[in-house]
Amino acid sequence: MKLSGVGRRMLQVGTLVYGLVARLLPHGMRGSVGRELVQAFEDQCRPAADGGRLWALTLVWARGFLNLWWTVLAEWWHVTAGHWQEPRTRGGAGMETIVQDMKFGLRKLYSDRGTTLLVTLMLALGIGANTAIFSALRGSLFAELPYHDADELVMVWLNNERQGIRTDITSYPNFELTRDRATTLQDLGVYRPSFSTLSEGEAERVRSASVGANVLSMLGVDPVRGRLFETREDLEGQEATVILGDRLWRRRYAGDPDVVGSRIMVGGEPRTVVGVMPPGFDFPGDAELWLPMSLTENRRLSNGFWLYQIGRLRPGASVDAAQAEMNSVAEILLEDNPRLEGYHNLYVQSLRDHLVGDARTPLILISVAAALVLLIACSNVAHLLLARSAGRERELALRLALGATRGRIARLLQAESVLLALVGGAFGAALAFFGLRVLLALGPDELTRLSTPALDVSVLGFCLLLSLAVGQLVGLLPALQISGTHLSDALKDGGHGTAGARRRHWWRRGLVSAEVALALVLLISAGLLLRSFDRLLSVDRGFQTAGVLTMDIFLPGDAYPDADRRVGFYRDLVGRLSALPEIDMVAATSGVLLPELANSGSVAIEGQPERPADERIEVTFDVVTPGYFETVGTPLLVGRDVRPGDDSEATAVAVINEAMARRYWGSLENALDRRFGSPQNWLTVVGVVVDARRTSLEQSARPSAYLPHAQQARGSMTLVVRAQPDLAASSATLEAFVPAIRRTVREIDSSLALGEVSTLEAELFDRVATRRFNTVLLATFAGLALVLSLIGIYGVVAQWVGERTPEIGVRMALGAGRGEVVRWVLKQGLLAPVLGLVVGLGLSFVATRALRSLLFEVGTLDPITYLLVPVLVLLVATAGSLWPALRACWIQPVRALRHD
Amino acid sequence: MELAPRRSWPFGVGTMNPEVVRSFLPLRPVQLHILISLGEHERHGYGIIRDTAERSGGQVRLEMGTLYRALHRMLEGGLVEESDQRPAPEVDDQRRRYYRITELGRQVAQGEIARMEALVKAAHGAGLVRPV
Repeated sequence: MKLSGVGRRMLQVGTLVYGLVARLLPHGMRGSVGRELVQAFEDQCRPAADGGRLWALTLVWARGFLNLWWTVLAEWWHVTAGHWQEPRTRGGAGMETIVQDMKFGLRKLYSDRGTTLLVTLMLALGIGANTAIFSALRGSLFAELPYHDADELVMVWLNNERQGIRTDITSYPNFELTRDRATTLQDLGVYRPSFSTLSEGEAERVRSASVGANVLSMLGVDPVRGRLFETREDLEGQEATVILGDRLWRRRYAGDPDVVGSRIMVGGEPRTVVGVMPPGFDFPGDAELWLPMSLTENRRLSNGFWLYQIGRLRPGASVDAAQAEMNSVAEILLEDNPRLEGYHNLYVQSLRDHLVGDARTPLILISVAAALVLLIACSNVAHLLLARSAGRERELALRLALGATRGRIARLLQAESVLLALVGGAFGAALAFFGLRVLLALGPDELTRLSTPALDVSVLGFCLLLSLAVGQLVGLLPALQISGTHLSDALKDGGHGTAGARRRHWWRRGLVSAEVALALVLLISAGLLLRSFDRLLSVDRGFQTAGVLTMDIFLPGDAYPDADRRVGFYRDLVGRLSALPEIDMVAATSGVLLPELANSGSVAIEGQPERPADERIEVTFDVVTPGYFETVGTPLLVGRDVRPGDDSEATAVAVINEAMARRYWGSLENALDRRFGSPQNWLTVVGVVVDARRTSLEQSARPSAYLPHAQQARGSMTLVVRAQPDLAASSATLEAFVPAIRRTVREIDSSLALGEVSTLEAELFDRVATRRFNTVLLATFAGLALVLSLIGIYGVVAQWVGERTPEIGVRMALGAGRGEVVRWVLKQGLLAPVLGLVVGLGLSFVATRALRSLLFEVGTLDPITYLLVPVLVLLVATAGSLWPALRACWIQPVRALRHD
Repeated sequence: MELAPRRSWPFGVGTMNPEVVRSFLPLRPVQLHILISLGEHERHGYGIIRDTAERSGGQVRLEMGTLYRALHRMLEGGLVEESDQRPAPEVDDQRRRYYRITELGRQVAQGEIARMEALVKAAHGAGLVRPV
């Protein structure tokens, strides 16, 4: 039977959690029936999961988990407390007893509003944070891809791990060879994301994809109108066709059903619309238009790498099986293929991993952090409840004496804590609602790539389950306490000085130590990330972002067929714009920031021997107009800038960066007037500029060469505009002269499609968005953890002072000074945090290793972080103990002695 | 796999020491449900839940944890044992375990029913039961 996707995942997750909880059963029962219990739970959930009835599934979960917790508790009692009598009247907790206990619990909570409020607040924070993170995590890990049987879809890449590129694109001959030999794939196709200009009426530039004829049908999505591409439609000489996306169809063609069959101008060429795709379909990401790949003979024989490969696994075949097969296909592929030197394998990646890959590690780390915050909150609540159950020892002992079973009382306490957790969970869900908005506002695009996280039924179900589990967990300690209560002791004495009180105190100290340890791990992790972020922002990036606007311009090939027109257009545009009073400097470039897989080529260096494949000289190429370096603030070190005279008549020249000069010629001066490229087309180095970190701030600059636009005339360029210094102050004033720029462009050519205007600052900001998000989130959780530990420390010390009031009175009556009392209390109060600090440091040494991939120029054992954070924690711990200590020293000895 | 009951019985089938049987009484309702369900034929855990629900017309819904806890206790007490008879391989799930009632279990169930019948009789005698 085939399960619905969401239902199946929920079933897996539910069974996994159920199995984890079942592990808490005592050894005997776990060994004899534990595994089957989990199996039977899965059977019980299956009908609801199968139908995708999430509400029904949530109900089954709630019942199952509640009952399992009760079973765990009851079984432990059975094993540990021989004197305990099981209630015989009803199997386990009957529903009416639970209701009765809950009613009593409600009254009790209302009568003790202060504690209730504090506990609810702490639980709401913990549960809310976890719910919001769960929602985000589910969006990227479990979301359904909008394709038929999406789990069968895989990407197939060329693997060039030695040069740090695991996912490289491929050539058509490579694709054909792979396709013909793959038996684990039922289909393999190629595509290439691109842009297209729609030119009748107002010109518009849209994201598009050229796809092999089989790709759209492989994805298994039917068009809402018309048809998909047919076999061989991607070959040369076929009618030029196009398929529209839903958004484009509604926006540009007003949802006109007759558009199918009509002709539209795409990239200056008439094409027949054959279909319209359904809403939400945007493969391979934001595409609105699909063109059949035009596979001319040249392209089919070309060894250039330009194709992405997507395939569908045969039913029953796994990604691992496909990878195993590709390992052997790769051997054939790499044999005798000089173009593939340096590559060593093919890499099969599930489409899901390809789409969400990068967001996963940080999200998992952050959910661990959120779980730790919840644990700390639980521990706080547990010792608040423990303190309260101590105050109620007399009441509970009386109930025991009147014939209540210990089990019944334990259940009563559990009912109270579950109620508390449910209320906390309800507030937590509200907090999660707002928290999720903050997450989405701050978060990187990966978070919403597959689906927008929302608080839906399954997230609320998660919230409910979490609340139930938390309620059971925090109620465990006070409930266990009951089994150790001695009737007569408790009735005689309010609990002071008994073995029970002492044991409770040790429990509470243990909890505080654990809290401090966990908080320290979080704080140190956050500290390391903060230091990395700081380093990253202060890294010398080699260009100035303030006051610089960028705008993409695309010259269509039909209107600008030759180099002279393109050069003329940009020369004219730059000239007109620099005449505007608001503009300080202006230039055009093929791109200020580089994509992850930037265009690069291998070059030869005149006078140097050819290098082996591993050390091939890879240089990224860019095209710039004169004045570019000054506009983006990249200083020229030696030689000269590109100048207007560097045109097609003159010698081919290039300005290179420092990294390239040092790598291939040893020094900057040495590089001047040297030549590189290819013997047919040497480029002479005329200048060297500083390295600019253009791929990402983390990566040092690759060897780069900048060629004059007048010698390498491209149609698509990015206009770079630096505003006058007095205007550059804010993005609002920057936006103000965007219309002037657009007007100027239209004056030269009104048919041009203009790209988005953006500031360089904003573009750079986007590149660090993920890191900023991780850092802010982890820092927030660490801060929460610190505040919660402060509350915990205060609670324990205050409780201790309360219990020791008579003793303090005696000490003071016997002549102890106030200073002495404060020191004594502080010493008692700091014992647990200091122990926690030591344990926490040990844990941090191990835990921060998981952060290694997220750090930048900061070691996992960064001394500054490891010094400052413990000092901060110590200060907070002292602050938490100081207030009760000060209260203690103002105790009046006479009243203290009367206290009991 | 070890399939013998955990508590072996020295007197041979059919001659249980009444003291031993009595030591299990009164049974908890969930235990009696299990014994009744297994009295018919062998079942796995989830099968017992479904059978009990069917038998009671949906009135009794055993919870998973409660059921397995009782099963664990009854395995220890020798009232039920694991069965080595498995259904045909095409409908079998290897992870499942099947249980059957032991002779001791049968006698304990009979003892419990007898105890209940005595109770019902007493109730009749006291005029608490409405004539049908």
